[in-house]
Amino acid sequence: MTSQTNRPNILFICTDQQRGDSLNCTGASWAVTPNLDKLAGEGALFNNCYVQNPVCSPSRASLFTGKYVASHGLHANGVPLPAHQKMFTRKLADAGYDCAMIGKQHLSPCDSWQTEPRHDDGYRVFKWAHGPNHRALENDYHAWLRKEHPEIYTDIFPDKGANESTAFSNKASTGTPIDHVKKEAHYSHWVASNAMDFINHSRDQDEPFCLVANFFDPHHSFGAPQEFRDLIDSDAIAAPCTRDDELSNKPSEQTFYSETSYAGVAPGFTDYTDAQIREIRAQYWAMIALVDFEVGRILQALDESGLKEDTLVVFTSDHGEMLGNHQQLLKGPQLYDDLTHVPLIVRWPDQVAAGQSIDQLVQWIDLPATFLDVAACAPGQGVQGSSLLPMMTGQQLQWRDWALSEYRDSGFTTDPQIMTTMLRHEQWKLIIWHGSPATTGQRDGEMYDLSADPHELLNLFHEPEHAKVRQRLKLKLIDVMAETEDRTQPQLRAW
Amino acid sequence: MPNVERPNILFCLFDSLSVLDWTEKSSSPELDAGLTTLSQLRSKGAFFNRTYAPCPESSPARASLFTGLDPSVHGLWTNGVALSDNEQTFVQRLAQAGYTNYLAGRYQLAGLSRWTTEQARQNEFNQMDWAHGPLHRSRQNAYLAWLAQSAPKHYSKIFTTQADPENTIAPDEQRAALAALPEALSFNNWVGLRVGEWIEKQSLDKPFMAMAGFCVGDTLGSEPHSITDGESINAQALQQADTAIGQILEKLAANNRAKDTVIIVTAARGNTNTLTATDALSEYAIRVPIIINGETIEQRIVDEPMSTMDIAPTVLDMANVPIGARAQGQSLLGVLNGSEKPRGWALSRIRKQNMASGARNWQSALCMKKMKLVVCHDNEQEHQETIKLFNLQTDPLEQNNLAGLDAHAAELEQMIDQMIDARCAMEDRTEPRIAEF
Repeated sequence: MTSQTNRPNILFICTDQQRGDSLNCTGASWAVTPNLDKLAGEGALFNNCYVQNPVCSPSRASLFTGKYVASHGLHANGVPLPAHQKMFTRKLADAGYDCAMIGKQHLSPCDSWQTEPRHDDGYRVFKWAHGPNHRALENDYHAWLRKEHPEIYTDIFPDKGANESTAFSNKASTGTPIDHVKKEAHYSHWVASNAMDFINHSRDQDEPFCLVANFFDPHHSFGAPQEFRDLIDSDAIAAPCTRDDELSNKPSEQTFYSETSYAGVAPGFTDYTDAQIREIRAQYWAMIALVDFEVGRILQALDESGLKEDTLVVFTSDHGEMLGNHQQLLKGPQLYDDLTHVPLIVRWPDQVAAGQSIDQLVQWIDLPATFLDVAACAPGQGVQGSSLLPMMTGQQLQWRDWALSEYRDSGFTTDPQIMTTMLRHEQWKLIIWHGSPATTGQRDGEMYDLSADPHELLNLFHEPEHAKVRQRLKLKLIDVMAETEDRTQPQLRAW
Repeated sequence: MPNVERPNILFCLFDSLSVLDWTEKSSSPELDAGLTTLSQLRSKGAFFNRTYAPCPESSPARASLFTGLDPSVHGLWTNGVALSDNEQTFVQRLAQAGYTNYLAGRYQLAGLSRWTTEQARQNEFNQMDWAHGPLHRSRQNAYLAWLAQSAPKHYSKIFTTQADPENTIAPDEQRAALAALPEALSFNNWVGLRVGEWIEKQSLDKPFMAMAGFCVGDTLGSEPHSITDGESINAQALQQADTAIGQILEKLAANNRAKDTVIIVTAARGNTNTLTATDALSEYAIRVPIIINGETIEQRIVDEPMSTMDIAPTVLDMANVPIGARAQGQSLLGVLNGSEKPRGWALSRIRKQNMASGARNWQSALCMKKMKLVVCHDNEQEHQETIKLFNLQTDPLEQNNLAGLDAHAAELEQMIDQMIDARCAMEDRTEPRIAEF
């Protein structure tokens, strides 16, 4: 924060594929997340934050543009962010913020080990690495690993004979070698070290900063350093949520996504034994324990630099992970809370009261609106989300009573294409599996009463006694679809 | 050389014109009686009888027409919003392909209140005689400049005071004086004259696109009705436009260009004459004609629901210009020659919002050949039923709302489902997927 303004620094810490219920402070008693629990206690914990798409690239595009998937145009992994879409970091940079990005971005295709082209992102510091197994020559984590831990690098990434294919980590049924390296050589550690370096050394001290720290974990492949696996008691982890014959009253595609993940690209839930699923879940929480440790290092650096009071810290993730619930793994067109509900913690000492637990339905695109708000950047201009600042500072306000998430053949493609839409409203969740004319697939649906069935086990969509509610929710969805059209172009004249 | 591969295009665009005015159940059959040119073109050419404007507001409708995109994609969501420079009109695409383009009259891809001048887009028209309407007092209104010079006495009878951007409602005396103008000095006649003269001057070795932007809505370019944006059709102006098209056709024939020229006649939106806020998406308001005439175009009536978003791909298809990824409409030529199935449905929506009060008139309609569903999202102006369901075959004037009736409950649910899926289909997925992840 500069002396001239009240604009805080922004520290945005984002993991990948982390479930909203995966922290100790969000109900996972087996989770080892002391730093994140402490952060939540010092700020506001959001219990109902929904992302606008359940897979990486479209969800991240929503975050960085502040728009719904139908509006920003990056409708699927493998679609580049359209050139005319503006990122909030560009707007912050234009407003004088010193912006940096460490880690995973995924706003352009990354398969075949492609390097993402730079968008007009406003970052002065850019340390990119799509993930620990991604062998792009510009992978900054690999460059560092080659230099700092050359024996580890050449052992895991020889010139020939191992990890030569981008399908490697998707096809792995458990962790890959790079997942299990000692923490000092781990991707998560590299992200935190670079974030600390920015805070301590390379940031522009005359300007407020915006530091984006994008972790790859707990994204699959499911493996973590032994040191962190040892912290997790796998017997304490709840069993996967499901019931007998659950998928028989769900849309039939879910059976396909149980037998195989990623539309055939990765092993499916049914390829694993119960014990193997238990171990995957333990490794998942081991990865989270490591992330928590590394987040602790970043927060400590912030503290030691005297920046704690002047920094808005956000912790969140781009979408969740099925993790064996509903007999499915990874992610796809499913719009269960497993995938759409993410953690959200916001800390801004003295501005945001500590210890808040906020149940309001909020959306991921409210975050860029919030950043632009605190940075005094024409709040709301060009974004479709709304600032969370009034809500976090106890001001009464009108707020939307719904949340929207949309999958548009967004993951690995299928034929026919699958398109799903989730509406959260009151205690209900409605999920439309679209049909003609959006796709040649069969129209279907899910409907859950989350107060009676918080684990989304009982699909009420086809129940005659719920036909009235179902129609009411469909009409509400039509209203929400109208509400979420892109009206960011200003009305400059009355006619 | 303009030829079958790259024909000249004469594009006649009405601001308001409704197909229902021409059907047997028309409320004003006299409209058809006097429109000899339009009637001839309609009976000799391909006539798309069930085309819908994606919005009953003029500017969003025009943006869809010129870009081939849904309003939620091109972003011109209500009157007064400008079309982003990121979007390309079919005119710009024709220019890139070597066409010479001309406009006389109205365009309206930006807000025009306060007598604002519409700015030219990049590399679009080689020449423009822009005029939003006879009563729009922008200093760049080419029609008024011409009238002031050619007929100063008439001009000063119509415009007795300086143009004032704060006061843009046309007084009755002004309208009366305008109506008293001899036909040869009228706006639509001027449009026809300009287009005809320009065509005459074009060299024979390059294809051209000449656009006649007629104005027949009764506001004639002055301030529209603030709540409905509705206006009646000025019968005199309509007749003048019909005559003007006839004169352009005569010029084409006299200059031996008729066989190398395709003629397209359409409208941005329908007849909003009887519009109340609740009727914003009535068949009268949103169903417009598309008439195509040309050497290779066979006489036909296509009665399947189509959209004015289909016009841009059609024009580009005619000119043998690749339609490109950034388009959602389909080429009507494909429908005419049977190589493409007609879409068979259309979405139309109004998203009007009062700038000062924020009061909304938001409605969405799904129009199919038989059934039509209209959903009212938020209407503080008038109490109205939230959902309307009509059988357009048995009730084309939409007088019997079937939404509350048990007998139609299944049909209603089906239409609701289809509206949700249709909206999903119209989202922006024009950016291609170039990799797996």
